[in-house]
Amino acid sequence: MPSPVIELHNVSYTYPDGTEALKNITAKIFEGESVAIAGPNGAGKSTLLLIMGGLLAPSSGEVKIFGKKIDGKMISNAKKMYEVRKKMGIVFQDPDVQLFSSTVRDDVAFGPIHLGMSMDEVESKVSDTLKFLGLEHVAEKHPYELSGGEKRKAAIATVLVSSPDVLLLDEPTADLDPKSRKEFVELLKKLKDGGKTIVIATHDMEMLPEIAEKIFVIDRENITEGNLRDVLMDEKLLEEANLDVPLVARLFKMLENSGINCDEISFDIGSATEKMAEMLSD
Amino acid sequence: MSKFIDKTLSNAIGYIQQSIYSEKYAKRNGLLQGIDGRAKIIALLFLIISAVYAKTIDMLLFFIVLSMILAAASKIPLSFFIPRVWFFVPLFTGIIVLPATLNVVTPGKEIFTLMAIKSWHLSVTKEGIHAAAILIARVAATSSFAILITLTTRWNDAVESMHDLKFPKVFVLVLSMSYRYIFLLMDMVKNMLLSRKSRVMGKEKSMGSWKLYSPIIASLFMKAFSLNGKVYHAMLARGFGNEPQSMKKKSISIKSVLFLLLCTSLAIAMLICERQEVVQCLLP
Repeated sequence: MPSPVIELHNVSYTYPDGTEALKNITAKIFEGESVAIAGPNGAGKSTLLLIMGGLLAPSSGEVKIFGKKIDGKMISNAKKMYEVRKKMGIVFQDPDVQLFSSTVRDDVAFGPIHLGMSMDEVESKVSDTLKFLGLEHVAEKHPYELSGGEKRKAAIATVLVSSPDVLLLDEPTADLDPKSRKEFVELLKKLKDGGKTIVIATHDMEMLPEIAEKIFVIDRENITEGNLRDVLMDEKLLEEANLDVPLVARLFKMLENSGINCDEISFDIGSATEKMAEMLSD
Repeated sequence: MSKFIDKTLSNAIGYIQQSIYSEKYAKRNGLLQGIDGRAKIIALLFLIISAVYAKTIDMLLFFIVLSMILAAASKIPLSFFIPRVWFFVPLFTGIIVLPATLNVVTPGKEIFTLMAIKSWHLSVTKEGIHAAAILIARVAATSSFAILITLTTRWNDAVESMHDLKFPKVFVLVLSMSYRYIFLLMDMVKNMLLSRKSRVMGKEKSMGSWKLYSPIIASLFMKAFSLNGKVYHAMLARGFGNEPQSMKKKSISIKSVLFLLLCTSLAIAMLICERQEVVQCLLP
């Protein structure tokens, strides 16, 4: 059985201004899993991701990353957190937060350099990652000069370059145009097939069936864990969390409501096409 | 008043974005642009030090002419370079140095009298003008070389050179990040001003418009503060341990080494000449 990479036990977090972001959250994420964290605005998804990434210490409760208990003192200690930082990559919601160097190349190199890789290794990894994501032409550019899609890709490059085992992504498809979004989903699929653990905080329910198997629906105090398909069928839960089912699934539900037997509801366009072709041929 | 602030802010933002961000002259294929950043910074610093110690007008004029030759060789139009140097010199140094030309500060041979009340009089002295001219020429010479560094070096190269020259790491990191975020914050200001403008109907009263600017400033401050925390998390997540590291270890070209040797030799020779002159003056 795969070992848990992230374990949260009764985790609560209150911001310095007194805002309670999370209350008594318990969750486990296992090696190789693709997990979605969904919930309404202000549900605490980003805060939860920061705690899972070992960047914020909870106000109370216990956090373990790769079996190591994480507390406030450890977080700013680079030596103690070395293994965690090396194995875990976090892509922030706003690429302007992620891209803080004066060129894209420097930004992509920032992680490997600070994780102690040799200069030759850094240079080769940076070049490979930029090539892989098609960012070579913007390597020497200032992040300010990039388009929204390029910024997002560059932000992902800054994390992928260190080949982390776990990827934490905060609203990764926000401000991506349809083509870039499709490319990004393909990239996530590749990473998933390569055995990476992926955690995505998102509102983009259309993307999830293609990537995630498990979902946590969160709303500050409540966290509901379940199989993605089961959760997407739970209309009451989705409505309470201000979430929607993917369009394809909605189509199948409407067909069923109008008396057409669909056997099984499809959630992604690939399986839906196959299913529809099968139904039409019958 | 509202129009005045709007125009001032948007022009200031536009100017900084165009002049700093575009790095127009730093991208040209000129003499100084082809010199390694480290060699250039050391060489021009030597010239600046030499100019600081220069005590005669002739020598300072030599440095000023030298800076103009370097500017021309670096494809910087003199019509742009000279006003850039001479706009700030009279503005700041000229005002400070004015009292030094007067007999009450620098006594000497009086050239003309400005004011006379009974036996007391206020005059401009030859020695005073000489002292003022020396100071103005020195500021012009040193600022010319400093402006040459900023005009011919791309920001990234300057930051990397400072890192290689062992400037304090935190200082280099702060400089580099300031450059990264100044444009983002400027964009925020511009967008806030535009959004405010889009909601203003009719003519604004002066006091009202002033009052509306304070929340914009406060909002920018809060956004910058929030950004600061998030950026720190992003750095921490990628292994930052309060000790910035840099990537490039560049080799230095022969052309850069020659330029460095030439400039440092010249600066040292000028210093020695100056010292001899001083020694000669002291001799009976």
